[in-house]
Amino acid sequence: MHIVEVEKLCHSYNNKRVWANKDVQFSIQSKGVIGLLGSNGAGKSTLMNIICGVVHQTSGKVRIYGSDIEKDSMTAKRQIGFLPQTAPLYLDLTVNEYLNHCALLRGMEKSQIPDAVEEVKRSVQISHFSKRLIKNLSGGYRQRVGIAQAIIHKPKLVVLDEPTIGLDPNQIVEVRNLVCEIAKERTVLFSTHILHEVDLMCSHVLMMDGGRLIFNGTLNEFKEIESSNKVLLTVGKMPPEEELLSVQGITGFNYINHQKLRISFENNPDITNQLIRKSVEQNWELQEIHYEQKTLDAIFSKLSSKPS
Amino acid sequence: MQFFQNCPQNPPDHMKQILTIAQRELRTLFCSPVAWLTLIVFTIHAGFSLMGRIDINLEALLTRDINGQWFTQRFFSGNRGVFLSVINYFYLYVPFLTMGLMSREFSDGSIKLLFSSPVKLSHIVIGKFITVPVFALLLVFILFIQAVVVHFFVLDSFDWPLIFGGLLIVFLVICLYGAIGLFVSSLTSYQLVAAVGTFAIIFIMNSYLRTSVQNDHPEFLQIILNKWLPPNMHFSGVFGLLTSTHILYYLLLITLFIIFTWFRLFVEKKSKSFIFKFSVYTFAILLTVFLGWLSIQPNNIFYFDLTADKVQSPSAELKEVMKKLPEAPTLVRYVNVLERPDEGSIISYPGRLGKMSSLRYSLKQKIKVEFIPYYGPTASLYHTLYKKDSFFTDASQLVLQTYERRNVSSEKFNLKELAAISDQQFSWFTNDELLTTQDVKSYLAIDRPENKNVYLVKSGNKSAILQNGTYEGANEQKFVNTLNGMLEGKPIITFLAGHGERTHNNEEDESDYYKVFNNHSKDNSLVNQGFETRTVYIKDERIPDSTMILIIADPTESYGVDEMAKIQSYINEGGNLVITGSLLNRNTILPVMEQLGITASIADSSYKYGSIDPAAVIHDGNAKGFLRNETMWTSSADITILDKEGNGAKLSMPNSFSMKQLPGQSGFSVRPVVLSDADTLIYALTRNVSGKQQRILICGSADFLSNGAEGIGFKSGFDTKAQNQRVAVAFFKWLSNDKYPSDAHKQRRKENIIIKSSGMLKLFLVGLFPLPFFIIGLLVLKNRRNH
Repeated sequence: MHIVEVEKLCHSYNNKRVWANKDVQFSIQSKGVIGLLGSNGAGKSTLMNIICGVVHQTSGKVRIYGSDIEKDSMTAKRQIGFLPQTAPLYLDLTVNEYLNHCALLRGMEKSQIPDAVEEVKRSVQISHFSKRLIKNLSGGYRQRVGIAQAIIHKPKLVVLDEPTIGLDPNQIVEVRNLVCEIAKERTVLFSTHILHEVDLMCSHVLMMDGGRLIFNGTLNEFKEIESSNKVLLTVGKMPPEEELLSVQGITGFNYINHQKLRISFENNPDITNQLIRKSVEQNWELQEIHYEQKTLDAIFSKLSSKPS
Repeated sequence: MQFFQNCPQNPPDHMKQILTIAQRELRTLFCSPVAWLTLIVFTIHAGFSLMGRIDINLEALLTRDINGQWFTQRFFSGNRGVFLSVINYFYLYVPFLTMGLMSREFSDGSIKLLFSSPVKLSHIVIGKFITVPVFALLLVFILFIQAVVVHFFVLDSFDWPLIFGGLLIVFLVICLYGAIGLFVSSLTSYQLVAAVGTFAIIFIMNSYLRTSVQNDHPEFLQIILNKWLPPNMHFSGVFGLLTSTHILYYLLLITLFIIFTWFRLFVEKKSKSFIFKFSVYTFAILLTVFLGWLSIQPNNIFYFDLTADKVQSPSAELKEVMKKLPEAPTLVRYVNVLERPDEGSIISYPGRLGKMSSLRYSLKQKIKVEFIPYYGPTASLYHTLYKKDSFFTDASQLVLQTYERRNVSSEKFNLKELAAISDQQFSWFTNDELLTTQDVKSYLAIDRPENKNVYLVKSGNKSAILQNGTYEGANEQKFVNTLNGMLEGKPIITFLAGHGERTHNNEEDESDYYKVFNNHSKDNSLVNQGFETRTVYIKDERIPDSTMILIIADPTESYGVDEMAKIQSYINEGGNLVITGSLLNRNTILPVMEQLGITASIADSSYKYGSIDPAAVIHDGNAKGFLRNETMWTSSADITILDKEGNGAKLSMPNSFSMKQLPGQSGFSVRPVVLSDADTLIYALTRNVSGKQQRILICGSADFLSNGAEGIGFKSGFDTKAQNQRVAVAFFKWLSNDKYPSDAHKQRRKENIIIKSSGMLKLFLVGLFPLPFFIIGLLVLKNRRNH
């Protein structure tokens, strides 16, 4: 049985004039972190809202463990924990009160709730703020409380909509680790527009643009799309043009400064090894060599011309 | 990691989830200052309202004995009682309580928590709404405590069922306003907008809606929009008569706004076209209106009399007389279009019965109403013009100007012409022709045109005038009197004339009996208690057989032999009689009195006041009494012939002479009724004639019933509190063999104020009672702030 199954999903907020999601179709069958990539306005949040039953799609089907999110929403929602982009917090409640409330909403047995609350607080490291009003917590801790509510009932599918937005670097690292921890036993659908996060956390990648799903594959497959055709070199002695062009596949280059240059190439997966060998031979005093990272825009641009 | 191992698979308990949402909402409410501030302000507000009512009655007690009245109603359920006083301000309280119910969820984004949880939309809405009845119960509890305090510390008797009925209405009004607030709160993410929006909707429903539809619109629209939809048209349940219409109104409207809220959340989740949304809202409104329309149909209305003594239920007499009617009665209202609007002039709502509405109410609304307009200048019209009263309408002025310009009283106006000129539509009147006063007089055979509203009761081919010229509302007793008179003929009081006797048609003459017998504008005048007065010139006419009571009032000239024979014949046949004489003319009346075995005392003294002899009154342990110690009709207070101490009512007896029995047997059983010290000023005589008890009153003061006497009409002696007019009604009830006025006037237990001052009470209700809310609120808020 698929964990998540999305079929020909379309959604419009304004009576089919503009589509937030159009013909989205994919399924998730494995545990781990599934990255949902896309720039702002790509339709990620809408897709997540539909998967979690917050919004009903205009057309198409969404099934969670076989249960239709629209027709059998009670069964489907029991499998889901959702953290929207803005954590759905009641600021006037304490952390304990809030988590208790969320547990009850998710249909947990009253007797199980105290233990579940303690466990989830430990896991997101907010135990010391149990009696603190949520409005008195910092942004990072509020986000942790948000994550706690999404996992307190131990759902099989956890949907996190850009959970690292607005956090400081340390908090981002902590949240990423937490997500990875959660994903050991669950499926986590994790949206972001930061490519690096996908690389760090995800086993599978979905990418959206303009409401359409433009990529659906493993991280490795995604990285292949991401692979660059430009190499950046930092050297002690700048090589002459003829030495560079003698390397197979190099189509051009330009000097960035007196030590750095960018080399363009085609059809040569072994280009870095060849350049290293050449630099040793010609004594370029090679200090650094790496592929130039592609921007998301570049990848979008590429993916947009190659629909999944 | 241990934590992520189990996922709950049990289906959630829906009721538990509803309560979870309600609990969370209540926690938020009571962790904010809004709830506590509302409770404190409400307690003080209700406290001041109640103290106002208590103080005003305590002040009244200083000057007159008002004890024995229906104080539960006066304090809580009356027009100025606590219930209406607080209900009228709920539109200010409720929006603050409901403004955040949904809008906070939208603004904080927490709505996504609810939407993504396994909770149905309906459960979310109900869970949110539960906050309202819970808070309403708290407010009701505050009023309940007030009632408990009044019961134990202010009054010696209390009408608890009336209080519970009022509390129910208070509760339902809060719930209705709360449902409106919930819906408005779901329309916006701004709490302030939600509060203002709720306030605006409630305000519009209570004020604008009542006058939104003019008289030229279909009756259905007028009734629904002007009469059914405004919440304040359904506050009247606090008066003690709850109807299924009221209950259904609140339930329907509460359900409507809850469904609106549900639908609003539904379209928030699943976008729908404008036409779809419009259709659903329209359908829900139309369905509610349809059910509302069904609920106001007379045959569908159920009544619940919430008073302890069932004073709001039809009396046995009313039920009895209604059964005898050939068909359901129709009340025809002749409306003087030149009257002030608030008295039912041309712009008044056609369905409005004015002060008659209580009658329609107690008759269970099974009464049709017709309106017939006429015009005739009235005192209030000129008063209004003179004062430039803002109530006065252009239409009325127009009629007046036209009336004066044409200066021909016989000329009739056409309503359509009038409407065309004045931009008013009068299609709601049952005919187009505007009658004149003369027309009304001739149609209804009214002697004295009052140019006010005239009410006629019709049933089959029978009709009778219920009221002519009084602004006072017709009560059930008066209605029963009228119907009895219509069915069986009115009891006729015949005044002898031709020998300088007192008359009964001259309002200006202080010696005339107009006010007691013929004052159409006063309910306690006998003409409004079912009697009809006639005059017979004894010299030329015989006393009509239809006479029930003959009045021989202070003749200044002696009766001749033939005339005395006619009087004697009437007496011999067992006719009831009232004889009044004055000190000045007593020698003229003595021959008539002496035929009955009564004569004047030798002492030539005048008595200013007398009082009812308690021995003449039927009360505990008195087998000889004959006057019933019943409540005498008054518009505002219940007064009995004997007071609590057993003293008889005081009467003013100007120019009176005392009387005594002549020696020997007259054949009558003679009892003193009114005494002044040891002297008798009024005797009651009875005997059986042909199996019927003959009843005669002989009064040594002719002015006892005259316009100028204290206790008649508006005249009262401050020190004496003379009850002449009220006792006169009791006398004529006895004289009419206890038939008129009917017994339909409701009897209920007496309530007495048992405190002398209100200082401690005020301290408790306004000072101490809000204190717990203040302290608890302060502790809760302080505690929350420390988190």
